[in-house]
Amino acid sequence: MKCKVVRENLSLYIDEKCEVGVRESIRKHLEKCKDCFEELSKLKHLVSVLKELPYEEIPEEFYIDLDKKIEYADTPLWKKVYLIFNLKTALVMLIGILIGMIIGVGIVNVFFKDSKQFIGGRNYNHVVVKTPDLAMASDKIDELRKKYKTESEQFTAAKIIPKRYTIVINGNDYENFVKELNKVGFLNDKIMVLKQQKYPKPITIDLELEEIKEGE
Amino acid sequence: MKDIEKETYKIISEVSENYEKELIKKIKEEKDKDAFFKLVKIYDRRIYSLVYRFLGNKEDAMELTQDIFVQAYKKLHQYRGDSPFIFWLQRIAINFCLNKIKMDKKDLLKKAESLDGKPNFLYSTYKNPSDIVEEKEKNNFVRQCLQKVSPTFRMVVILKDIEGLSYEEISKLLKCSLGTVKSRLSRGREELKKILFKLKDEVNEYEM
Repeated sequence: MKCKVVRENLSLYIDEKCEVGVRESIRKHLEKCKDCFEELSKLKHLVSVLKELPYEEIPEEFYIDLDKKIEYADTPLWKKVYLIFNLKTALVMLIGILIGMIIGVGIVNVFFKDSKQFIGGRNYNHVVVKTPDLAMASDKIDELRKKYKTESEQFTAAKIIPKRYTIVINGNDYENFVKELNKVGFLNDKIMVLKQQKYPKPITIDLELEEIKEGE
Repeated sequence: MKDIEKETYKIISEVSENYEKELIKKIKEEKDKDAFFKLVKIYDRRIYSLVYRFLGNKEDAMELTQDIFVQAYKKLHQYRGDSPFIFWLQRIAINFCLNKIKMDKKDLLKKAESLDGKPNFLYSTYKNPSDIVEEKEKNNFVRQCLQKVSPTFRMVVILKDIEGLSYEEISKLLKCSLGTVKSRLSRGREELKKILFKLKDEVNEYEM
């Protein structure tokens, strides 16, 4: 056996992990070869040094920092976010959002005030009329549209689909319009909210016809 | 019997396996921090030593060891108890160590530093050979020699010769074949041997 092969196998040899045949050849080689034997002693020495190594001393601050890290690991996500953004940033963000909301509402009021009516921030102009006779109701609504039609071009009533209408009427006509609508069919109760208020400006109403079977 | 083993067996006999299981149960069910710190106390030096010897830097080692235990705390519900707890802990430690080395490799500055010529410790810590018989110095010496061995081989040498694990255990931990473990160990020992004896000659009187 050559020295090179012996050296490559020395590590396994000292751990007794060589195959029996290989082990025997190495042993014989070591008896004759002084250099290889020296390498073996060095390797054995190294392994024994490593085996005898004591533990490293753990630094004193180890447990203080570990405690903090564990504390942090236990913190819920929302709190971590809160910790990252301090109170000042949070306040600035909150004010920013508030200003944004105010501006948003302002824009809506300025640019869309004529087309939509907002009550408490919600649009109550959606009206559902329940009727047993769709065709008749549709004709009656067409009549109502002609009667209450506003003069302004942009508020011209438009028939979207046979069962749905967008009607624009004068705020002052609202009460009468509702009364006549009541003759057409049953209305949803949201309409009652509007009834008690006065609307000098045009109101857009999304009207929906819904067929009900007789007896319902 | 090895010191590490002796000490480990001593600790284990003191607290007993049942105690360990009880602690783990408490942490799992009640997130009991006291129980967790008791558990850390059992393995702190062992894991810290493994990490320190692998990384060679005290600050990094301490921080990484803390992170390893924090990870263990977070993932403890995944530990089913079918293998010894230390084995599970070591697996986390090894993954963290190897990741750390990967990250450091990306850091070119650190790489340049590690390529610097002769180690400084030769001329500082080991200037006076008469001082260096203490075990602590021995630790320092070996640790710094280990840093000269490439990380893949270094880890196997640490696990086999310092931690005292078997070939089979290492192959499981590192998820590689038995043959790979054998060759890596052989090459790692060879590298370490060369470095150690070269430095030893330079330090001259150093007795080991």
